[in-house]
This record gives sequence, structure tokens and C-alpha cells, in this order.
Amino acid sequence: MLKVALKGLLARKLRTALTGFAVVIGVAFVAGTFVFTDTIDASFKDLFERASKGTDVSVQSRLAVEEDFATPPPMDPSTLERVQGVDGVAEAAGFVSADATLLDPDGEVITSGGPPTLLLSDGPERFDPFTYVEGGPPEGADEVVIDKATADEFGWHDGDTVTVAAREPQKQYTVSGIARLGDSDNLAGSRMVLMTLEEAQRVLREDGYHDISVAAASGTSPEELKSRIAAELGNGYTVRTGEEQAEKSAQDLSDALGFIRIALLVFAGVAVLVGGFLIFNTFSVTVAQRSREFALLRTLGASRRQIMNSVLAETLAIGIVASIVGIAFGLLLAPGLRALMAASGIDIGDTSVQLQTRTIIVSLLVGVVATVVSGFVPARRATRVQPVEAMREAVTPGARKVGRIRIAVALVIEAAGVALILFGLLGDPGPASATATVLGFGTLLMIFGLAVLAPTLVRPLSSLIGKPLQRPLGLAGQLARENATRQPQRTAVTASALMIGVALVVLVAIFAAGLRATIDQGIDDQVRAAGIVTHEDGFSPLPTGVTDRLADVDGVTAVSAIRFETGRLKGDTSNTGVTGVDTDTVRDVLTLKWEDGSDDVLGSLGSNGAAVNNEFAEEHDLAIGDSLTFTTPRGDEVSYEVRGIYDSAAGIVGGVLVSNASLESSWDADDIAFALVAGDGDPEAIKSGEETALAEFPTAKPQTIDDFKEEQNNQVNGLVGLIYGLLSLSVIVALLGIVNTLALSVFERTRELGMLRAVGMSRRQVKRMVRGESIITAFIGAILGTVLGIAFAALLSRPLADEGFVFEIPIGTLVAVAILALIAGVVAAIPPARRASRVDVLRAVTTE
Amino acid sequence: MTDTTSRPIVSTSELRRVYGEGETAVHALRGITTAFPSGQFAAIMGPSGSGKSTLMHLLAGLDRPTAGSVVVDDSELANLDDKALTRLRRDRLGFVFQAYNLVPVLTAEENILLPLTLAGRKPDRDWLTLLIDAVGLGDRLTHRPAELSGGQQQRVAVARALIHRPAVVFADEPTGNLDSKSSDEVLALLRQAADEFGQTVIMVTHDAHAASVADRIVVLSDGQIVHDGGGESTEGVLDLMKAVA
Repeated sequence: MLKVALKGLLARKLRTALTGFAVVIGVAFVAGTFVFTDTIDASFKDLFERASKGTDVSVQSRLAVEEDFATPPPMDPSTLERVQGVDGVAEAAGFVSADATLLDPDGEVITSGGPPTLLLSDGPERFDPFTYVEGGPPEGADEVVIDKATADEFGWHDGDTVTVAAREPQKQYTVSGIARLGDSDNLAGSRMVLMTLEEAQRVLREDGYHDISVAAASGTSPEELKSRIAAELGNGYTVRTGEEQAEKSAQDLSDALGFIRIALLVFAGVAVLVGGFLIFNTFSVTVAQRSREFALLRTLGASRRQIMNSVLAETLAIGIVASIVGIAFGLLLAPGLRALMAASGIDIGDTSVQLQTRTIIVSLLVGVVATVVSGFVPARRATRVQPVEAMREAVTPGARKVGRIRIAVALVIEAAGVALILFGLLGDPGPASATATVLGFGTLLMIFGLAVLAPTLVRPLSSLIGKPLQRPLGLAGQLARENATRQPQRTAVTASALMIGVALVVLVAIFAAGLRATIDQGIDDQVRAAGIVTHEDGFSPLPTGVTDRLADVDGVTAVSAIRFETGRLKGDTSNTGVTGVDTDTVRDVLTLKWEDGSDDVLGSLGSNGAAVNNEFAEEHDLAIGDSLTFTTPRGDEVSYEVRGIYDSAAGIVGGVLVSNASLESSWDADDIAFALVAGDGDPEAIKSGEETALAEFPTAKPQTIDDFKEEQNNQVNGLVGLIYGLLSLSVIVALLGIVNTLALSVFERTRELGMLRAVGMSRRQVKRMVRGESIITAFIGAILGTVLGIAFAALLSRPLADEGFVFEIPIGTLVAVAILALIAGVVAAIPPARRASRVDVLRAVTTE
Repeated sequence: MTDTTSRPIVSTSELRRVYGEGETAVHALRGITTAFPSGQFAAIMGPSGSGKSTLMHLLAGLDRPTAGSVVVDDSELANLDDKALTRLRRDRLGFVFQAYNLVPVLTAEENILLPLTLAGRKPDRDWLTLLIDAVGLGDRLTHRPAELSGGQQQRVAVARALIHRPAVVFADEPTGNLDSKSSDEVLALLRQAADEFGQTVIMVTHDAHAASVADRIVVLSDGQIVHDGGGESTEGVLDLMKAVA
């Protein structure tokens, strides 16, 4: 029986290949994701290990409030002396590091979208991990070392001049050397500028150190030295061995990467799901077409179990081969994913490819399980063929009656899915992973519910779509419509595969439209300013010198700085974002809607007043007059009195507002997040004035509020583009499904097609007929998908509605979806239509 | 009775059809020269492998000869490309096959009108009514093939073959799948078409009883015509076949 199965597969190579391809794509996506994230992981791990070269012990100050990727505050210079005095220390050196900005030869800021430009200070040679391809370390305050990747990009060499800016105004330096770290031409995607310690400290306005590297004297182990130093320094410091430090940094990154990996795997999962539909459909059809063959086998004495195993063996064979091919494609896909993310502004960098055993195993499992599970129901149907059918003319079984029970079952599944999603969103299933699982299941149930209902909808939808087709296509159109409804089950499954992709596209489109509208509305509601000044990259802090320059610009009536800090509210387990406002000027640029209080509250915050939004107030049971105590990142405790409660809404301030003055004094906060500028006259004119005034701070970017809104919208669009890119694979698989189903049904109708051609149907008419079927199927998928997508969006935006999320259905996008469905239908029909029109009339009508 | 005074509606000259080449070549037809006048009901017979179906396929423009010519209704088929051949079949020829004649998703009436719909022409209502009466399917017009018996399906096929008043009706074993009663009905229809409507019918069959309905019997054997004579009774046909077997 195994031989029968395998021979059968080889006989129908093309069909097998098409079926397998669906799995290949899904598995490639899964494998590609793992390869992609593993590669990043490994390259960063390598980077961190190299960076800690020569470091036996690493000392940093302790962050009272743990936050991923937050830089610990700098340590006092005396710390270094204390460390140097510890027994067993061969050498200790202090380093500073921060984000900085490089300017290109035209004076434009070089941004890399993802990783920042790192400014590092140089140290003693034993701690220097870099390999110099040109020149050497910086000797004086006017020299810097640049990473090789950046130098190659701009054609810089030893002796060239570059401009760097950090907290101090920009300055020009001479390149003293070009460096690499291990195999990487840069720091795994980040650019690097290396300066002498003194210059780095000056430019960052730091007189202390961000970390201290210690080399142990011979005879002292790193662990021993670590405990000694920890004992010496006491509580306010984090002391780790060099290895531990490298591991921790790598771990932090792995965790962040974990999110990306899960997100990508979700998309891969969608592709696999769609592929599963395709496999189910193909096997259903081929089983039906081969019923005579199975009947013959049963007549000859094969048991039902043997038939089942034979079909399952086929699915297993396809699954294994497809998974292997998928893994190979995954290796190709990984750089594709990297390029896709880079195009959307997330540049991860370029490193060698990592194929782990885990990847191979998971990919194989996914591919094989998906194929076998999808083929299971058709396999069981194959066993139900009666031996007597071998004697009858091969007639493709007519459509099974689609009954009431089916509709009822479908509605139940659908309702269960909706219930689960609502529970996940509004109930409290627990930690994020539990919520995600609940939401995931709910989504799957909704998809399956609609897929089960779909056959009942095929007839009415075909009529709906077919009627307009009949005018241009005539008889071909009528036949197309009838053919689509001949086997509603088959058409429904094919359309459902497309439905999934379309639903997600529509969901994303609605959400993006809503997000853009919400952002615009939030800004319109709250912001009274003429312009805003942010950092070039949109999230880094600005040096405070910026506000002084802005005040002098023509037309500016007020400059209000906004700061952000993270603290932990006493009694909370997670951090809270705290927004600082300039109490003198904030009312000129911002207005809020108040539940209890008014904008005047903002003016009178003083050193210990705070305003909170009503969501925060509700969560923490706060009323006017209550006190709030925060632990700052430094470890200090600061208390505030609640003076006002404002409506929570999307906007540019967070849930807790205090004065900038208090942040500066009690939180040791230096930088501002951004500045809002109120002014008279043309905002564009004010913006140019600002640009001139800020010439020395190239990282500061002034914008009008309209510019700002547009930029925010573009960011949403960028993310949406990325998601569409990731969904496109699923859509391609679904289109393959349409091609496949059409090809099978053409094959099935060879005799009929031959007869039509004999009676005088032209080749063109035949092609039109097949094309019509394809368009109808594609449109059914698009309509179902649109309905499902809107339902998803409506559900998912429920909890967000309270935050002011605007629910908008972008008609433009829906029209675009419809047009794309049309094109997809036409394109998918091309191979089957050609095959149909080429049917050998003679062979088709001959009965001998 | 070959009527030499009327112009032949189908004629062939030295028609040959060879499949394959070299040693494995199969000579299905070895030089057939014959003509069919308008209004004649001819039966083409022969044992298995005689070439009768091949001959019909060539006459109907469903296949191209290896050598020789076929002229149908004054058109030399060799000069026609696929599009033109298709149009010829649509507008000037009618077909009844042994099985799979009808489009399953169309009603009986729609199936009958198929050649006209393909051509984008409207039916002559009177002619349609006449045909429907003749085939006796007035109450079955809205039914789909699956709801019709084998005999009824074949009768629909005959009506379809006649709706556009073709020059020739080709029937390939039209009674092959039918019981004797349905068989007789279909043959009677074809006979009626020839007698009342002046239709030329060329029928390929191995059934002696079916052949007895024809005006002319052509027998093929090994790719050549071995008998070409007038109508015979069923016994007469059987004798003919015995002679060639």
C-alpha cells in the first residue's frame, strides 16, 4: 500500500508539487524567522563577549527602577579610586557611553532608524576590543575613531574630518583610525564613534563613569575579585564578572528579540494555516476524483485502514519533503525579512546565518503536522468508498447537501470565537501570554466558524458576483457562475484560504486608519502650539540648551519643554511613565479635558503637585488631595499630592503630570523629551526661524504641528506596510489555492470541455469561463474576508474606545481590496484557463 | 442510394490518417474518397479498429488528416485554422455523442440553444417549438441533465444538434448507451430530421439495428471502404458485417 501511495504521488507530480508548495511557503516563513532572530541573537552575543574583552569584573551603578535598555546613572569619579584600591586589582578604568549623532559631509544628520550611533570612550589597551584597519586609537581631544561600515559608506579615511554632536553643540574631529569589532564592520548594526575619555566626558557633560572595567591580578579569580569589590562599594552598585555582564546584555537583547520573533511567528502561523486549507482542499478533491481507484483497491481486498494509511502516507511524504524544501527556502527568506524590516526603518544589521537544530526540528514538525492534520479528514473520506463504485462510470460525486446542522454548528463556533475574544480583551485571563493565547484561539474559532458557514454562502454570493459578470462574458459568465456553485464545499474552502489573508489586511487597514485618526484628533484636541521640536530620531531626548535658543526666534511667544521619566509607584509591580511640564508656559501650548479641575491646575503644580488621568486615578483609587509616592531610577522616594484629574485620551502626555522643576530637582532628570512652541504668525516661518537658531544642535528637529501629525501618520503607515509585506506570503499561498482548485476542476471536466469545444465554443470563450470562475472564487474570499476583518476590528477596538480610539472604515482601502481581488482572480486563472482551452477535443469526445 | 444529381455536402479525396511513425505507425485510414449528398442519412460501420470513428472525426473537423482533403459545405477544411474550424462546428455542424452530450449545469432548453448562445444569436422561436415537439420534451425543458433519463438526454442532444439548422449532423454511436426503446426514439428522430427537415446525417455505429434506419451504409475495414451501398434491414446489415469480419 505504501508503494501504491508513493507511485500515485509520482504519477501526479505537478499536483503534488502545487500542494507541497503551500507547505513550503509556511515552513520557509517559520524557518526564516528563527534563522533571522537566531542570527541577530548570535551576532549580538558575539559582540557583547568581545566588548568585554580583558574585563574580569564590571561595575555599574544600580538602577532602582529596572527598565530594559535604560542606562544606569553615572558613577562618581571617586568610585574608580575606591575600586583601584581593592586588593587583587591589576588595572581598573572608567568608561562613558551614550547616544550621539554623526553628521555626513553635507552637514546632514546620519540617522540609522534602528540602532543609534554610539559614542564610546577609549581606555587602556587591555580593555580595547577593537581591531584597527586604519590608524589607531584617538590620542587627543580632537581625534575620533569611526567604525568601518560607516567609514566605507561615506568614504572616510584616516585623517578625514567628521562632525559629531552629543549634549554639547557639534564639533569637528579628525579621524585617527577606522575600527572593526571581531567579524563585524560595525557594532552589529550600530555606528560607533570612539573618543578619548576626557573629550567624551566633556561632550556628554558627565564627570563620572557609566561603567568601570576591572582586570584581575594573576592569582585572583574574577569571582573573588567581584565579591571583594562588591564588599568595598556596598549597595548602590551592580558588580558582575565580565562573563556575567556579557550574558546579561545578551539576555536583555534576547528578550527584546523574543517579541520580534513571536510577532513574526504569528505571521508565519497565518501562512501555515492558509497552507493547511489548501492541503485540505487538494486532498479532498483528489480523493473524490480517485474514488474509482480506491473502490478497485477495496474490491481487490484492501482494508479501510490500509486505504487510510495510504492516503496519510501521501500526506506525510508531501509534508516531509515540503518541510525540507521549506527549511532551505527559509535560509533564503531570512535576508529577505531583514531587508523588509530595513525598508520599514528597522535596521538590524548584517551578520552570518545561523541554522540551529531547534529550527530544523520545529520547522519539520510544523510542516509535517500541518500537512497530516489537514489531510486527515479527506483520508477518512477515502475509506468510505464502496467497492461497487469500481464498476460504475467515474462520476464526480455531486455536492453534498448543505444542511441546517452545518449552519447551526457554524454559528455556534462563531459565537464561541467572539466570546473568547471579548473575554480576552475585557475580562482578565491573566498574564500577557494567557491573554494572547485566548485571543489567538478566539480568532481561530471565528475563522473556522466562517469557513464552516461558507459553503452555504457560496450560492448567494456567486449569484451576487456572477450577475454583473454575465453581461460582459455572456454564456461563459453564466457557466462560470454555475460551475462555482457546483461544488460549494470546494469553492468555499478555496475562498476561505483567501478570506484569512484579506481579513487580516482589512483589520490592519481599519486599525491604521483609526490610529491615524486618533492621533490626529488627540493632537488637535490637546495641542495649542504652533510647532514642536523633537530629536531627529523621534524618541531620543534633547539637550536642554535647545529651549534657550528657541525663545529668541521671531514670532515665538512661549517655549514649553516636556520631560519624560520612568518611576515606580509605591505598591505597583510595574513602572509608570511620568510627564514633566513647564508650569509657566504649558497652558500656552497644551489644553486638557478635566474631570476634576482645570488647566489652571497645570500652572500651580509647584514642586509637589501632580495631576493624573482618570484611568490612573481609578486603577490606584486616587482622589484630589491623595498622595502619590514614586521611587525614582536613582532610588530616591518622591511624594506628590494629587491636585487634578483629567480625562484619559490619546495624546502626547502620559497618565501622570508633574512639574519639570520637580523632575529636575528630585529625579535628577537632565534632558527634555521635546519642546512645544507657541507663536504668532505663520507656523512655517517660525519653523525656519527655529532651524536657523538651532544650527548648532543638528539633532534637534523643529516641525509645524501639521508636519508632526504627518510624521506620526507616516510612522503608522510604515508599520502597516511592513505588516502587509508579511501578510503577502499568506495571500500568495491562498492564490495558489485558487490555481490548484481550478486546475483540478478543469481536469475533472475534460469531457465536458471537449464537448463544448466540439459544439463550437471558442478557446477564448473557454478561457473566459475559467477566468470567471476564478474571479467569483476570489471575490467570495474577499467579501468574506472583509466582513471578518471588520468584525475583528470592531471587537478589538472595544477596549480602546474608552481611550478615544476612533473607529473608521477606510472605504478607499476596501475598494483597493476589491480591485486586488479582481486582479488576483484573473491572474490565478491564467494557467488553468490555458489548460482548459487546450483540451484535446478529440480525446475528450472519444468513447472507444 | 447515392444521389449524384445534388451537390455533395461533404466530400473527401484520398483521405489518409496515420498515427505514429516508422515501424510503429498505425494506418487508421488508407485513402478514402467518397461524398455525401445533402439530405442523406448515412451509416458508417465497421469492426473495431476499422477507422470509422477516425473518418467521422476528420469529416467533422475534429482532427486533421495526414494526407488528402475534406470539403464540408464548400469549405476545404485544410485551409481553416483552429478558430475557423471552431466556428464551422458551431455554425454549420451538429453533434450527437454517445455520452457526455450535455452541460450538467444548464437546463434542457439552455442545452438545446447552446450553439446559438455560443454564436450570440437568437433562436427562431417557431423552429425551436417545432423541435421541442418533435423530440417530445415539452415538459422537461427546465430540468437539468441529472434529472433526465439517458434517452431523454440523447433526445435533448439531437434537438441541440438541429437547432441551428446545420449542414450536417454527425452522430457518434448515439444509441450506444441506451435501452432498445430509447434507442428507437432517438433513431426515429434522426430519421425524421432527414425526411422532414432535409437534414444530412452521418452516423457512426456498430449497432446493426441502428444502421438499418439509414439510407446508405458504408462499411470500413482496415482503413478502407469495403462496401458502399443502399439501406439494409437489420439482418442484411448483420450479413454485411459477417462478410467483413
